[in-house]
Amino acid sequence: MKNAIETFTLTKRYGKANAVEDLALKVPEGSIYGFLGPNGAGKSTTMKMILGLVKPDAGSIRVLGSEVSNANRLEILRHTGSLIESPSYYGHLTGHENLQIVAMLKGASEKEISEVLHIVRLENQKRKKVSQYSLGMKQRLGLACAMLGHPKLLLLDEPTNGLDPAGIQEMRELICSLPEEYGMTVLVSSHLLSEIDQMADYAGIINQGSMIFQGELADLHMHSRKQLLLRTLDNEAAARILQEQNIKCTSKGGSLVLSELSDEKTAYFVSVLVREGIGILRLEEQQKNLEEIFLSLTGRQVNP
Amino acid sequence: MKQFICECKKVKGKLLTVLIPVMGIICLWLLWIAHDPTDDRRSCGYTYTATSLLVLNAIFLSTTVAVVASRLMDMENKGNTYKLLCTLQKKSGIFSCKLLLAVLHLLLFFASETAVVYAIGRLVGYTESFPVRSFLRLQGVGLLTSVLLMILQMFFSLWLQNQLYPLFIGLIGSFIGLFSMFFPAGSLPLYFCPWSYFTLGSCSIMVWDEATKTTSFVPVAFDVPGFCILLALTVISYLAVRRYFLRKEV
Repeated sequence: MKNAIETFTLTKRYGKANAVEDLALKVPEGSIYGFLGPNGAGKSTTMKMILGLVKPDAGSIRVLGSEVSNANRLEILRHTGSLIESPSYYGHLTGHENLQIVAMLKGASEKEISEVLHIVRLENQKRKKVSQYSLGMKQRLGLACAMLGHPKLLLLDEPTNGLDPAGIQEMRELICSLPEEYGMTVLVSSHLLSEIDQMADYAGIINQGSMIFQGELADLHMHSRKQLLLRTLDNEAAARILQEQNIKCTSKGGSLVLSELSDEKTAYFVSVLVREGIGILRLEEQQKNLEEIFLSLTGRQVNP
Repeated sequence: MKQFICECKKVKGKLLTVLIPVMGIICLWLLWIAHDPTDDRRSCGYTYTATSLLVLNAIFLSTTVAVVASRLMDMENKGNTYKLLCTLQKKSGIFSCKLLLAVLHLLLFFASETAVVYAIGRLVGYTESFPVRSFLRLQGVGLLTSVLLMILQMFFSLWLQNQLYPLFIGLIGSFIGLFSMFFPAGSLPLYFCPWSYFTLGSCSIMVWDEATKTTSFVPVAFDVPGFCILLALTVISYLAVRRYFLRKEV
């Protein structure tokens, strides 16, 4: 599969600190690529480097098959749209006027303005000054600006930031529809695994400037699968009984850790333990959060 | 051209709403100066108006330029638009278009001001023929000084987050510009302060004769070295501020 974005040993330093280090990002064409990482991990810096807003200290970037240089940057970016950190807008102008400015710079037609307004559902607010828009509407306007000119590639940096739950849902649905309906490749960053989980086909996790995971979302699920935590009055006996039932478990911090089981199997082993006179104190489902996945991916010990 | 049209659309009269009221105040002031002239005043009406206009420009333009520069630069800061614009156009183009738009507004301002002076002269019946060369010098130097101030104020508006500071700088500048007129022509301190270059446009100084109770005008030679310094400062400032703009990360 061809990649819409590829970076090779991409590095950016601010003073002595490496904001991004030897990054090899591969965003497959036609996919929604979730770029995950905690705040300050280097997501925005990476996206800004791809867009030529920040100059890398080392490495190279290929966008839509061409290596980005100062000479061809704008030509390549003609086929991309972006929404970085917060939406860009002129508050004293209407939504339509804002889009007219971007359309003129992108060489897009008036018809396309109507199209993107329809896509982001802002037709009824297009004559309103953007300073009077809600944050959600501003985000949608930002997305409309990014989508003008039918770009092949969209870079969206935390597009759901500051939105209410309904707005998040709306934005998510919109992003999910882009590859199929408009043939776009979307690179979307977030610090929330759950958010990426609902949108992306591929994911990359960046931590302290380094990529610690990259691949299909299904692979990431392998790292974040649920566990059952069992605490009994006699963990040793419980562990023995579970092993007799072919249920694997490990002991950790006074609890037994079991991999995720079906509801039927869980009910069954609980009944077996009760029958054998093991007093069950607690049985809880636990899913690794993003931080724990980071730690496990980087090979460090997760303390209970 | 496309980028310049976009810049005009972005501004949407925001600069004119600053310049038109200032022009209005200057017009009223000039009318007040010119109203009910004596025959003596009619004979030197334009020369007299030119000396007043020099003072008016020094007072009003320093602050006006600060407001215009702030409006031009801050609309991008407020809306986080640099990171969008820089993916669509060359960074140098953004800066040049902004400056060009500001310069055209200033050119329009100075042309209108000159037209108003001429119209007032005709209205009240000045007998002095319109001194084209004097006004070219006065308004030409005024325009160039304003362009220099515009570039510097654009830098302050870029550099300082709080837009009140550039406005304060402009306000203080207008006081300095006015104060500099008390220095003799060609004084060294005048060359160190950008706001004082309006003075170079002065074509004559007023002399009051206590004995005859009459005002006469003494011509002032054009300060060519001073003008060259002003020109050089404008070019250097443009290159330096443009470089700062290009290097500033968005």
